[in-house]
Parts: sequence; C-alpha cells; structure tokens
Amino acid sequence: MPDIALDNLSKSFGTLVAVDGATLTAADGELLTLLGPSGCGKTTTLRMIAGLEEPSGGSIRIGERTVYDRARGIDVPAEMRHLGMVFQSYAIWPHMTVAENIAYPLRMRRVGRAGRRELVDKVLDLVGLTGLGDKPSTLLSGGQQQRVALARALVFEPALLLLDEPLSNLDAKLREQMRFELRIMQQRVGLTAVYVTHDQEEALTLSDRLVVMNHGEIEQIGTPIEVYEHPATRFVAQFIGKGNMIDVASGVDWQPSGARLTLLSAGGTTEVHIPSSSIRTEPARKATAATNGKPTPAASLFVRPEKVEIGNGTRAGAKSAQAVQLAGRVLGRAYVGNRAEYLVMINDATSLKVEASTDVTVGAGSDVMLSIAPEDMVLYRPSPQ
Amino acid sequence: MNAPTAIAATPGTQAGAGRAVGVGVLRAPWVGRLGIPPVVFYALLAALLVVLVLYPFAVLLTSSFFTGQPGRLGSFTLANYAVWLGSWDLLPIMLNSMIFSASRLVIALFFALLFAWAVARTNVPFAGLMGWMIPIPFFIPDLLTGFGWLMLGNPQNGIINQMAQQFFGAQGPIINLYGWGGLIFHASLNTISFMFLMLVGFFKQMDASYEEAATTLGANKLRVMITITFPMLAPAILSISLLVFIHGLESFENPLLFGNPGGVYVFANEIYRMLSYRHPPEYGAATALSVILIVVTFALLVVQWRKLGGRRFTVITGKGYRPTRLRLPGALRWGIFALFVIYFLLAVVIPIGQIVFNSFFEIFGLYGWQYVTLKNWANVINNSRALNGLKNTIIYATLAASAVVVIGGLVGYIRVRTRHWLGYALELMAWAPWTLPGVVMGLALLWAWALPPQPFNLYGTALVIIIGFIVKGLPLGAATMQSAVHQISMELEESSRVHGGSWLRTVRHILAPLLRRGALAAFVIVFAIASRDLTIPLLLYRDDTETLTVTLLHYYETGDMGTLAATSLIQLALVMMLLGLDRITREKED
Repeated sequence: MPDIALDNLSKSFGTLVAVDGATLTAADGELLTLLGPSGCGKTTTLRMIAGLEEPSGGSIRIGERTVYDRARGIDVPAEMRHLGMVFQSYAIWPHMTVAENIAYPLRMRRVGRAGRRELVDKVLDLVGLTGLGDKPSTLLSGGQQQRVALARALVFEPALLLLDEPLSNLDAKLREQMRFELRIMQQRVGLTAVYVTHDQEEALTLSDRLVVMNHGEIEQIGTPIEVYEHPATRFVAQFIGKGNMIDVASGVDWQPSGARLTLLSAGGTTEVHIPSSSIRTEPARKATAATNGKPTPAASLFVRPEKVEIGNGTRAGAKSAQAVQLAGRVLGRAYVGNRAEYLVMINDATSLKVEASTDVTVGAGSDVMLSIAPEDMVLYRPSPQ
Repeated sequence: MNAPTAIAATPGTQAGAGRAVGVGVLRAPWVGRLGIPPVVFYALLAALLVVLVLYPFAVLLTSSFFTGQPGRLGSFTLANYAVWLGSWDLLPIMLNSMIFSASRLVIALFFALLFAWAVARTNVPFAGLMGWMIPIPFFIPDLLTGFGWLMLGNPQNGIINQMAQQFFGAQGPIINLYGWGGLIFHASLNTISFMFLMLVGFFKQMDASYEEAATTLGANKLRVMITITFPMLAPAILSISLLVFIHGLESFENPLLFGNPGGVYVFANEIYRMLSYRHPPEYGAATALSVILIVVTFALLVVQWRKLGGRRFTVITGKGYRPTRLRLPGALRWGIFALFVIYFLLAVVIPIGQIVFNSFFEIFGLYGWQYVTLKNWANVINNSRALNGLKNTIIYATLAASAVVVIGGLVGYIRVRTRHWLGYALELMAWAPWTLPGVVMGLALLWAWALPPQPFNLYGTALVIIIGFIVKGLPLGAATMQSAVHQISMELEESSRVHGGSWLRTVRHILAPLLRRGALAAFVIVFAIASRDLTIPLLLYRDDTETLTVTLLHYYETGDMGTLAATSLIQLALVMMLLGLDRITREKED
C-alpha cells in the first residue's frame, strides 16, 4: 500500500488562510489522524487530499504518484485519485440499495456484474453486514450506514482510505465500539488511512500517529504517547487531555541550564527550577493564538492533573526531594468512579485541577498541600519573535 | 460492460494479493474533462436570463418614453407620463387599487389566521379534513369561480336574482356582484386559501418549547396564544401580508370580471382597458401606467425587505414539537367549523356547482328537467375552438414547465453549490418576475418581441407565449429547484466523485435521480401557473395560438354561458389533475 506525503500544502479562501503550509507524511499502512478544533483546517486538508478542494499551493503525493503539484501544474481530479472516503454524513445514496451503494465504485471502474457481486458480498462479510445487500439504504440504522460507507470505501481497494469524522454522528456507546472495529478493519486490510476528528480521545486510541492542527497550522506530529506526554506547544498541552496552565507574569530567570521562577501559594512563595529540557520555546504569534488574544505572559507552567499529588495537612507524600510544594484550599471535589477530581486554589488568581485516587479523602474547604515533581512540569516560553 | 483494460496494473497490484478485499487495484477510466471553464457556462446561462427577463423590462421602460406602438418605437416623448402625472386620473386608480388590495387582505387575513390557528392549535372538529380542504380553492382559478358567481349574482339575470323575483316577488335585483362588493367578496375567497396555506405551516412547526416556557411560568393556554404564539409569528404574518397586498395590486381576473361592469378600475384592468377597449389602443399611456405600477410594487417590496430583512424570528426548528392544542368550548369549536363549511360552500361548491349545473342546460337560467341537454358538451367537442385552446394550453405549459425545470435546476445548482457571484445574479434574475404583474409582463413581452427584425421577431408566435409562461413560472420554479438542490447533501455528490464517478456520471447516477421529485414538483407548479394564466396569452395571442383561458373569456364576453360552463369544466379537470399530481408528489416527499 502506498504512503502519502503532503508538502507545504496551503489553502486560502479569499483572505482567510485555512491551511498554512502543511507538510506531513503517513507511512504505508499507518493510520494518521488530523486532530484539532473546528476551523483548524483538518477537514480542508483531507478534502484537498481527496481532490474535493483545490489547494492554493504545495503538493500531494500518494505512493509513487503526484496527484497535485501547484508548481508543475498537476491536478488529478477526484475521480482519478483512486481513494476511498467515509464522509461525516456517510453520504449513503438514498435512491440505491446497500449493494448498489457499495457497487458504485466498481461500476465506475467498469467491473462486470458478476465481479461486482462477488466483491460486494466479500466486503459485506468484512464489515459484518452479510446478507443485507438488497436492503434499501434508507432503512439502515446509523451504525449500519457507517458500515456501508466503510464498505463502499474499501470495496475497490483504494490507494488510501480517508475518514472525515466518521464516528461523530453515532451515539456514545456505538462510537466507542465502532472505534475499535474501524481500527481492526483498517489493520486487517492494511490500508494507509487519514482520519479527521475533533475528538482527542478518539484520536489517542485510534491513531498510529496524530497531527495536531490549530488555525491552519500543524502544532505537533507524533505518536499518541509523544503528544500526550510531551506536548510541543501550549495549544497542544491544553487541547489534548486535561491540564493546568499557570501563567507566570514576570520574574523568570532564564539561564542556559534552565529557568528559575517563583510561585505564590497559600504557604508563601515557592522557588521552582525547570531544567532546559522541559522548556519549549514557541513563536509569540502562536502563543497569542493559544491565549485567545489576551496578552502573552512571560512564561506558562504546565502540569497534568494526575501528576499533582494531593495530601492532607502540611506536606504531601512527595516522590522526590525536589518536588515543588504548594499549599492551597480545596474549592470542590467531584467523584468520577475510580478517582476523584479536585479544584484547589493556591492563590487568588490560580486554581489547579488535581486528580487523585479515591483513597485520598479531603473535602471541600480543607487546607491541603500539593506536590509536583519538576520533571512533570513543562515551561512554555514565547520567543521574542 | 466489463472492460479489462480499465483494471490496469498499477504499483499497488502486487501488494494487493492476499488482501481481504478486491481482486487487484482498479483504476477509473480516464474521462477527458471539458476544456471549458465553468464560468463560461454560468455566463451563457446569465445571458439567457438577461434576454428572457431583463430585456423585456428594459424595452418596456424605454418604450414608455416613445410615441409608437409595438413593432415601431416612434419618437421620444414625455406625453405618456403626462397623461397620468399631469392630471388627477392616476389618483382614483391608485386609491381603488389600495382600497381593493387592503380590504381583500384584511378579510383574508382574519379568516386565514382563524382557520390556520384552529387547524394547527385547537381541538376544532375535523381539523385534518379542514387542513386538507381549505387549500383547495387556491388551486381553482379565479376565472372559473368568478364565472360561477357571476352567473349567480349578476344584477340583470343572475340566477339568485331570478329566483328571488320568481319565488319571493322581489322587485329588483337583491344581489349585485358587479362593482366593489363582488370584487372584494370574490377576491377574498381565493386569498383566504392562499394565506392559510402560507400560515398553517408556521403554526404547525413553531417550536413548542417557547410556549411551554410560558406555561411553566404560569400563563394559561389562551394567554400563551396571545402573548407568545401570535407575537412570535408576527414577522411571518407581516411578511405574508405584504406579499398578499402587493399581489392584490396586480390582480387582473377579478377586476376584469367584477370591476369592469361596475366601473371599478384598478391598475391591471385600467391598463387592459387602454389596450383593448380604446381605438386605437393607447399603448403609450398603458405602458407608462405599467411602469408606474412597477415602481409602486417595487417600493413596497423594498419596504418588505427593510422591515423584515434583519429580524426574522427563528421559531421554526421542527424539533421537540408536541402539539399543544387548546381546548375550545363546544360552541366556539363548532362555530369555527361552521365558518369553514360556509367558506368552502362559497369558495368551491356553489360556484363550481353552478357551472356544472349550467353545462347541462342550453339556455342560461331556463332550468327544468325538459331542458336538460348534452348540447353544450357536444358543442365543445365538435367546435374546434375549445379543443384547440386546450391543446395549446397543454403544449405551451408543458414546454414552459420543462424549460423552467432545466433553467431553474441549473440556476439553483450554481447558486447552492458554487460561491461564484454570478450565482447570486442568476438567482436575482430568476426571481425578478415574481412581483411583475401579468398584464405588465404581457405588455413588456409584446413590446420586446415585436421590436427586433426577423427572424427574432416573435410577435404573434406561440414561442412568445411560451416565453411569457417561462418568465411567469421562473420565480417559483427556480425556487423549488433550488430548494431541491439544497436538500441534497453535497457529500452525496462528493462521495460519487471520490469513488470514481466523473462529473457527468455523478449528474446521471446521483444528482438526476435525487432531483427527480423536486423537478416533478417544480414542473407541476409551473404547469399550473401557466395553464391558468390569462393575462399573458390575452395580450400575445393570435387566433391560432389562443389558450383555453382566452377561449373562456371569449365565451363569457359573447354570453354563450352553456359552452362557457362546459369549457370551464375542461379547464377545471386540468386543474384537478394537477392538484392530484401535486398531492402525490408531496406525499412522497413526506
């Protein structure tokens, strides 16, 4: 199966830049997810790969074949790109039966009647809809429609499988089930797939690698673990999973070995040292975008709620001696089954989300001590342009 | 069918072996794309609409400043406008038009609101039946019910007056439908039906949660109706009212039938009077009056946009609706139902019954078993005039409706699917004839197509009538096609493209089958508009291009009531057929 490479792919609608120089590759058989909030350019990118949207610049290569290259004047029309695509609405044609829907790509490729039937039956087995071929497509449930859309996209062995938020129209239970089925089928068929979603949980569980996009730009490309554990930018940190972003207005001492800063908590000021390996510098423009236009702080300290330990009284059970200790007061506690979530106020301007096992029992209003290991913190620094 | 060359080898073929699906990588056959950029195509369509719609407008405007008559412009003059603006002659026409339009609106609005509210929101008896039957009068042409009522209520020999004199010894006519009374009475009947049709959907689809919110806050159901339901529907009601008012200024059949004999002249029948009852016809003055009418209607339209453009209440969400029906006291329930029965009798049963009845008697008013005859029917069938009219009507309406479906489909597709500015221009042009009065449209087409040299001079041809029907049907036809395109998710087409369907095959296999229903609906609408239209053929016909409506008017004017009745029923049969077709397409859509 072919791989895919986008090089500096761009798209603007008038003055609005929808996709700004996207460069990425997906290896043979890989499932690559484009993830981001609505309007980040992920769907536009997918549609450009499909040939449904004409890029403003850059190139697209699928396997050996360049399907789009602005500079060389190549633009293979959608129907010539030989791709399978599952649309958000499934786009099951209501005037055709299930089998007619699935056979459509084969008909377009002049496959004979017998060949069509054989392939359709095969793919119906694959997606678990054996024997439903003659059913009118309007009588299908949401999950069945989804499977038909997938079958139609697979039946002709496309070069690439494109999926545009295929699960977003299903209810929560079915979505989770289909997520795994989709992954298993993609691996069994061995197709390279590009998957678009705004659901980060879906992206984390489904992808080989994911591409996080925001405002038309790629923020980070990496495996789910890389993106979750080492978010490259403030945006990625906040978009993927839960997180605490503590803005540090001033007083950061930048040194080659790392940064020193002080945090104000109920227990007074606490000195924090962040090693340079945990400091990410990002263009100020991006940092501004991530703060929704508010003035960019000198630096922002990021920590995930599950990395914060919470303890009664004066000291939390710190893992290491260098752990940062912050005193605070519990504003609220929420029980979420296997663990509990806390909101802890450490100073007038700052509250931290904390996740802990349900063994720890501190109620709202009680004074607590929080402990964070330095290696669990990331410091984001806007570059001076 | 099975072209082996299409399954060509590509780099993926080897890798394809042993896959769960497929026999190899299949490639779409290369279909050459047409080298013409789509903009050229849009421009051609725009040019067609310019010729169909804008050109007659322009010629009408120009010729209003000239002394000539269709076919010959003559010399420049301002005298045409001086006739109207330099005298008091315009004032009574303006006043009559406003009074007619306003009183028709007020009466129709009251009954339409009552019926729509009762059917959608109360426990009125037989609500379903009422909802089904009240729209029927709208589909029956004013011309037919007008004939029926004039047979009954004209002051000289109307059946009601004859009977009153015969059985009750009345001295003079007890009822006179000539003039204001008959005009407003008869025009209101059809308008009630139209306004009901427009309003009932709003009442039915209004999101119940707004009303439920008021209920939870302590308002009883009647107060909810008064404080929430009607105020929230106010923009829709106002918008529809303005539309009905504007259409009132343009209506022709009622002023012609009821106004002329009573000396009531509004814009439309005044324009027609100048053209047909004056010798020689006063083309200049009629044309200037037409332009004045366009200006008046356009000004009202601007008011409608201004007032309603920005603030449309979004009450129609269609979800979460549970009918909260008001329980009316028995007297009120049955009172409303009785009103409906009276309305339906007046609007349909009595006038149509009179026509049916009369079609079996040779001499008007001489009713008795010994006079029953099929002579009128034989007359219609043996006399080629009515059949020729029917044939022409069907041919012209079919051709015009087909053309509108194609043009409207293209306009709708370009407008919905592309972001090109020509899409807006096309939509605007297709919509422009919406408020152009029929008489004005006829006159404009007469000027426009009598002017060019041969072979473009279409004066007196069937084509000019067909063009007139196209222009008249275009606004509704194009809107219907546009909404049909709108209902087809773009992804249905894109899915075809991605999975190997070329543009042409996507149109053939996906778009055309999915548009079929919308196209049928548009066809029916335009056919109905064209087949019942009187004004356009009346100004443009010649003997061999006479339509059924013109034939009907001819029989009425010559007083041949028997043949008129039988011919009217042919027209009615045509209308009923369409009504049935419309119901079928609608039910399928649901």
